[in-house]
Amino acid sequence: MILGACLKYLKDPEASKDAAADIYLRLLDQLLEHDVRYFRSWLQRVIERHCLTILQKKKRQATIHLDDQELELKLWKLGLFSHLSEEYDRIETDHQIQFAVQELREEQRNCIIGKYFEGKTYKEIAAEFGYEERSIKSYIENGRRNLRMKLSHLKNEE
Amino acid sequence: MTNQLSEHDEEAEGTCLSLEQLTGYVERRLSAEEMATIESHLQRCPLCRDAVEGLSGYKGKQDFRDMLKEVRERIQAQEAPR
Repeated sequence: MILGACLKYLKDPEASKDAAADIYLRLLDQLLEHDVRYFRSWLQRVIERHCLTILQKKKRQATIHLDDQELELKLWKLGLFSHLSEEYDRIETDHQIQFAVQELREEQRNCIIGKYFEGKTYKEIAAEFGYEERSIKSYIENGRRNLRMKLSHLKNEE
Repeated sequence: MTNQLSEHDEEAEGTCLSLEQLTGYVERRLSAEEMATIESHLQRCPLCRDAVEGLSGYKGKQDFRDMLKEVRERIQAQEAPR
């Protein structure tokens, strides 16, 4: 029942399996917290809210991903590197870009290089540097903003 | 949620559909009488309607029982560290 309803909202079998498991695991706690008179109506709302939260989170991630693509496109247009596999080497040989990256605060630099140039996930960066995943997101946002400003400046000079 | 149940509906709708009834209905392998009974329930129970709608989209793509088995495994995996 729960899995079927999750499939309706999420339209993704894997996400629906996770959502159904999460809903089931939280059900007992939530039942103890709330005065549930009409179980089915209540369960229906619980499923819908849970799926809506997942969809909103997914949308936010998609937005962040789009921003990442914009940055990569901008870097590519600047002729700094042509594709991801060569990015790090090119940065190593380009003193201006190397300087821009090196100028970032340590946390931002570690996260930017880890995510964009080495393709690491937030979890992998967290494990390597001991940062919290929430903080990594913030370091990347700030580092990306700083790097974008520095790269725009370089473009103007050319 | 659209079409939430009223107090009256919730009392009147009876027991929700079992796994066998849900899958049997979606896969159209029940008798005409059973299908009619289920349709009658679906008219009054949006929760079961949601489940049927969700399952209908995956009919034939993956066995629903296998999917449920995976859900149980995920539940057990998350319960284990507790």
